[in-house]
Amino acid sequence: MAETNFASVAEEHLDAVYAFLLYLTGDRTVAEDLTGETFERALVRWRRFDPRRGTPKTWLCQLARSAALDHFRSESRRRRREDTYAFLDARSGGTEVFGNGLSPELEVALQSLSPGEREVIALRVICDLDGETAARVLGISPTACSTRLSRALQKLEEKVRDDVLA
Amino acid sequence: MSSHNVIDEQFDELVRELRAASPEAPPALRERVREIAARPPVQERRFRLTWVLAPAAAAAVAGAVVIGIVSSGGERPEQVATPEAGRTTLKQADTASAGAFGDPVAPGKRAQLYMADITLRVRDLSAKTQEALRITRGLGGYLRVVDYGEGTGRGNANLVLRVPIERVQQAIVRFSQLGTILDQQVKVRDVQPQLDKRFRRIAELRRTIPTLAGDALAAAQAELEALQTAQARERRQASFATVSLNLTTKEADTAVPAAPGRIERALERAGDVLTAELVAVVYAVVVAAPFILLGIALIAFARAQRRRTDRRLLGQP
Repeated sequence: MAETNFASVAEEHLDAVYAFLLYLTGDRTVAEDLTGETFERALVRWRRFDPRRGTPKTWLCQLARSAALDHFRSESRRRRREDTYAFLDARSGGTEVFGNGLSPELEVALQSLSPGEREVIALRVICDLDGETAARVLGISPTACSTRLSRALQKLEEKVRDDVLA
Repeated sequence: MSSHNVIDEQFDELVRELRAASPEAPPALRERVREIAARPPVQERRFRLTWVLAPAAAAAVAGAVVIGIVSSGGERPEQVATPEAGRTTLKQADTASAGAFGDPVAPGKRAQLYMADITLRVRDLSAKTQEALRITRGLGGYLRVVDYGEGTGRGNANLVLRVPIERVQQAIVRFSQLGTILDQQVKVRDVQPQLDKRFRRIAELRRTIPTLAGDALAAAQAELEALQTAQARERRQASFATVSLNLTTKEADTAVPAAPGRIERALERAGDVLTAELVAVVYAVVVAAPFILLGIALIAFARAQRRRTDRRLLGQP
């Protein structure tokens, strides 16, 4: 039964997890790898999933974030630099990264955001998690989450406006 | 709805566009995740402190119980050997059962001087004294000394009774039923070695007397007669047990606690072992406490450091 449930949960939330990781890393290849790793981890820990403590989507987002941070750390150690390399790599590619049909201005504006700013947008806008749940995934207070989201969207809007005006 | 769940209306257009262009997992990734989900569930092996603590606690308790049972001994009360060779002293008080008085050194085929000292609290001194005498006579014994005070049914009576050795256990049981036992002591002295030694000397004299004459013969005959008399006297002494029965109507100054049974002794000793184990654990914790605190501080520092690293990796202030 647990196996069936996991398969259906994976099918249902795959897009949300992938979108979250794509926004977080800014790299399609890395997001795909991390999505696979997230579901590998989820399968191993599936017995420990407690529906009373949160929805499957929240749990998967937490695992995805943890996988992404592990990836960032290992890459950081490997490259010995402190900037947000994934974002730079993605931007240097100059291709559509964050979605199908996004305006070029919005695509560029998203790329200019930090992974931290993009992850809160991903959780609240793309994955459609409520404020409290998104805050729990990020390990911050709901107020901080709300503030971070407003700032990120404000920055995004300003970037778009600037690009359009330019 | 909580205010944290509402996205500012000024971003409506932006949010709509982002949602409309929400990325979807590519087919290859979807297939890969399906494969992962189709795998049999893997049992995650995680270290749990309870896996260590539970068996350790169970082993500590089981060890304490085993040690308690083993060291509690059998049903018999403890015998305390005195430095005097061949003599054993048993002390016990039991208000419930005279049978528990036991037979630690029951008179067997060996010649033994058996002496019992029993102190009883009785209601009617006169009646119980008479009953003790009746019991003694009924068992084939006799009264050697009596010290009976006041004579009004209250006070003390001290009786020294001689009871056939083979019936002394029966006598003690019946005496014990006369009242509440305040104290009991049994002393048994093995006199068999003396009898054996004397027997060997008598046999030797019997062999040598036919070869003797004159003064030597007279001396040997006198020695033989003395030895035979002593031998007979000691055999008679050993054939009767001496029971000193002290009857009193007064409360004992201090009640003698009942001797614990084997289960009680086992539990008591198991408790002692558990206490010792607990002391050892507390000692270990006290010794290890600085290192534990240091470890906790290091873990807390590592976590804080990790949070800072995460924030930096995510490009957050």
